[in-house]
Amino acid sequence: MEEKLKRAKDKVVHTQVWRSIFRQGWPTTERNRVLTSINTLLLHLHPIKVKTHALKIRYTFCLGGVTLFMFVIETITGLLLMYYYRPTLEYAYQDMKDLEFTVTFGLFLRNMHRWAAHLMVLSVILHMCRVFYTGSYKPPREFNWVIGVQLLVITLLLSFTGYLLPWDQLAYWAVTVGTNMAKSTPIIGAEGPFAVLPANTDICFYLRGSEDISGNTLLRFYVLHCIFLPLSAAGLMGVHFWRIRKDGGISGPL
Amino acid sequence: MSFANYVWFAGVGTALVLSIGVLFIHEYLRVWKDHQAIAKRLQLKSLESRMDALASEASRAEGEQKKRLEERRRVLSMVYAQVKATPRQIQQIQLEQFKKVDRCTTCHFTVEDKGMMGQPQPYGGHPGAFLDWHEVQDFGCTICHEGQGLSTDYMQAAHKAIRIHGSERERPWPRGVQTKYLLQSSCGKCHLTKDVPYAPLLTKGRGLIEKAGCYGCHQIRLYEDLEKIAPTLDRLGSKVDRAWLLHWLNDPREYAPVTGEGLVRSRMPRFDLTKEDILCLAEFLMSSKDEQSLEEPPSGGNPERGGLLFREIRCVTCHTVEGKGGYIGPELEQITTKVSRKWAYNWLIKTHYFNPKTKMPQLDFSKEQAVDVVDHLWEEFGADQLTPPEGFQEAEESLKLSTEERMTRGEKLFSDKGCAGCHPRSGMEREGKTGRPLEKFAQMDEETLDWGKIDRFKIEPYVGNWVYMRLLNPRDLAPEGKMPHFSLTETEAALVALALLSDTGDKIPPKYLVEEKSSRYPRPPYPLPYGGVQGVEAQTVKEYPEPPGEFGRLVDRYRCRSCHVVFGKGGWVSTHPLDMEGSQVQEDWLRHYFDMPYSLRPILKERMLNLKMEPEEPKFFTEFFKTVSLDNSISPTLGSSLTEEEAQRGKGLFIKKGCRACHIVEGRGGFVGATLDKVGDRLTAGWTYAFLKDPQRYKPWAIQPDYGLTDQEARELTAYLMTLKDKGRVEKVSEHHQGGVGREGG
Repeated sequence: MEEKLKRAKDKVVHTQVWRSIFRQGWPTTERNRVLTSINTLLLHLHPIKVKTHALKIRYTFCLGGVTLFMFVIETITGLLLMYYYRPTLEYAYQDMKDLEFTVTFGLFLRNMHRWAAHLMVLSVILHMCRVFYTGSYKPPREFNWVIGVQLLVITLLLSFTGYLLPWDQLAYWAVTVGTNMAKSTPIIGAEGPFAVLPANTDICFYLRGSEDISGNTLLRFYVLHCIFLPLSAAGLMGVHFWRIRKDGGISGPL
Repeated sequence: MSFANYVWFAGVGTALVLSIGVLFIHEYLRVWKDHQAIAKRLQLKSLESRMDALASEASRAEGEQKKRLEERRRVLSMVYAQVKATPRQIQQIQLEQFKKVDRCTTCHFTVEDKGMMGQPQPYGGHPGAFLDWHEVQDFGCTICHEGQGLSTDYMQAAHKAIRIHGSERERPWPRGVQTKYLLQSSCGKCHLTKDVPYAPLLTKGRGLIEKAGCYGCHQIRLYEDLEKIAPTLDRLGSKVDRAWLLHWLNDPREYAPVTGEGLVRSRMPRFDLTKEDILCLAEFLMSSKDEQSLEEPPSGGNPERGGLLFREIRCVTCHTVEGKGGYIGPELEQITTKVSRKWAYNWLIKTHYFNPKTKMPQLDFSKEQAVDVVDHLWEEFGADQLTPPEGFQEAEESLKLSTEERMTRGEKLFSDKGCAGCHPRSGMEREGKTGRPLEKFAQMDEETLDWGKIDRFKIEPYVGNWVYMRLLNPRDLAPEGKMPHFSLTETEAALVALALLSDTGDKIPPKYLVEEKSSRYPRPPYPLPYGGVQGVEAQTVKEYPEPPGEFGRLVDRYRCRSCHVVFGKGGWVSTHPLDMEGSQVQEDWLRHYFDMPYSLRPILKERMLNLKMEPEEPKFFTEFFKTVSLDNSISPTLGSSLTEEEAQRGKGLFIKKGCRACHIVEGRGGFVGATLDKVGDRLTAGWTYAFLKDPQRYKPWAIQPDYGLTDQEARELTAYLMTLKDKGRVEKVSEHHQGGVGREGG
């Protein structure tokens, strides 16, 4: 029986298809384990060796991992929502209500996207606290701390741009207030100190695409929310994870 | 792995599976599914019972009647099959014209079924006949009812007030589902007319805006290019007494304290001016004089003759005396303290010279007659001099300003307070609109409104309430504001708010707009309740034509348009537009009516004036009406084809239909309708027939019910009414005429 199984396994493992996918043998030797990590896209970000103490859940609470998980949920639900949502004055609100009331599981989809977004902001902040309290921002990890801060900003921006898309009263006024702040930027804001630009060319105008919140703003925020910001976040996350590995693995004293 | 870890894993896994289960259950058990199922069950049950009733009725009936009943039953059974076959699904109405989608019929599934009227919501049929001429497929629900049509959930559809965080009370979403009274404001979105059929509150509210002259200071939709409501202030110095003016500016309600409630009392609001301000303003107003045009009245008038003339002309139709009379003109009881005798005399002689916009006709008084009337007024109402109000004497003494300075301050006050919004004054035609524009009123954001001392968490901070409070007590909301105190009652204030809320700023396709010009001339386009759509198309006119030539001159002189509609424009005091007068009344009657006009309705306050025309003028009017003012759809020859027998049957019909409940015949009957005793002398047969067939033909708010008479029945009733003649009339009138009770009479 065992013989038969072994033969069957060999038959599969020695095919061209198998070998083209898995270039190394079973990770039974030290070398093969290293190759397993190096040869696959997803695992190559992961350190080849993990310290045993890092496996303890209460060491990091997996907060970075939770954030990544939220980001994946946001990507999947966001892509699905894009099938139903049109970022125009005429349809934006109506499409959102359609999702709530007529699309099967549409309400679930929308709520999942929304709650995951809230949780992502929360977990990013907790992650930062954890890194701070364990002193993990100290050299040689100072570069990764800076990347992390940029990721925090992008997360908040993703949240902010997404807030406008339902195009209801809450969205409209929240973003009005939010973008009004840009007017007070020094020099480039129309109402800030040392202002040099008039209201129709200042930084707030470029943010909104018009002097008030309008269809332009909606489209602008939509593109930012769905393309520009997620891609930037994904790129920076790649650097972030790679740097963890290069800086001596997940937390712990060096 | 330890045992605890297994427990954890199992627990979390179960929770996950359960929450996914909840998701499916939630998706399956949507509230609307239950509602639709119940609605359908109730409707099928009701249809069954209706079909059974028809079947049993049909089994008892015979011939035509039986066929009709069976046909109706067949239609119902088709509806039954259709309802039964409708799967349980979201129902939606796509309104491409309005760019809206309404899903209300998902739960309000039976709304179009009249047989379901009176069932508890959401299973009831729509009350009234409104859906007959506002088809659900064209208008949906939220155009009128507001709320969130996209939603299929009770709260999300904004049926109910939403509790705002931190507020003690629930607050309606400003555009939440509207029922009962406020609903009528929605009619005003499309109906851009002053009178909106079946929306009496809106009509009243719009009338109040016009009457109070809100548009003098505010930009309001529908009131863009109206005449200013108040009399001109040119020549005021020659017209009124200074002490009276001080009283008037101090508190206008003091001057007219007896004549009714609310706006009836005084259209002039109270401005809360200080004594110094009033003195300065009076100085400025009194400076406009015109002594050259005024002629000294001759002395020695005969007040008795004047009194006779006063009653004969029926001045009280427009002017109030001792609390009785009309409200078109100013009340006359205190006229002697207001204007000088000299002014009153000149006014009667040159009415239209002093105020070309007045509603008062230019009566042809001789100098003696004018003095008679003026002396009658002065004798009747006294010639006491007014003293300035309390405290003004002292204020006058302590006011250390030169005449020049007073004038400047007065002029500034005049333009700041927006006096020119209501009062025309030469040189100030462009001034006036000092108030906040009220266009797109319902869209106003409550955050931008000034709530003053009001604690917004104690009330419903909603723009309608804001304007209500502002109208009743403007200083509570804006202690420093300009808005004066209007003497509106609470009901009137609420109606004004309702009318203002009808300007929502929603984009309505032009096809659905009902505008003033298309609606009244020559007849309204809207179909009538229970009567189906009327055949006649509305004729849209760009401009009302001015009456031409000699006719136009007379219409202007006698100010017919103050009460009657002439060439599409004018007041609605009289029952029907004079544009159809030639078809309505008989020639003889018309010619003699001007000599001694009488009231057709016993309870009506407004009565036709005795205009004291030149002898040839009634003849001219009669000829003009009989040749020009005709409705071509009315047969002029119907009268000759009516038979005695028909009249006999008509009499029976008259009694059967209970016409006497409202109309007086042979001295008995109700007081609502016109007296019918001499109707055979007055109306033409063609008109009577047309009116009986469709009473709301020219005036959609006419009280006369539409009995749905058949052609034959209408003929019979007409024939009967035409026999109601005044036997002795012909002789009487000719006698009367020879007696010379023309213009010089009395």
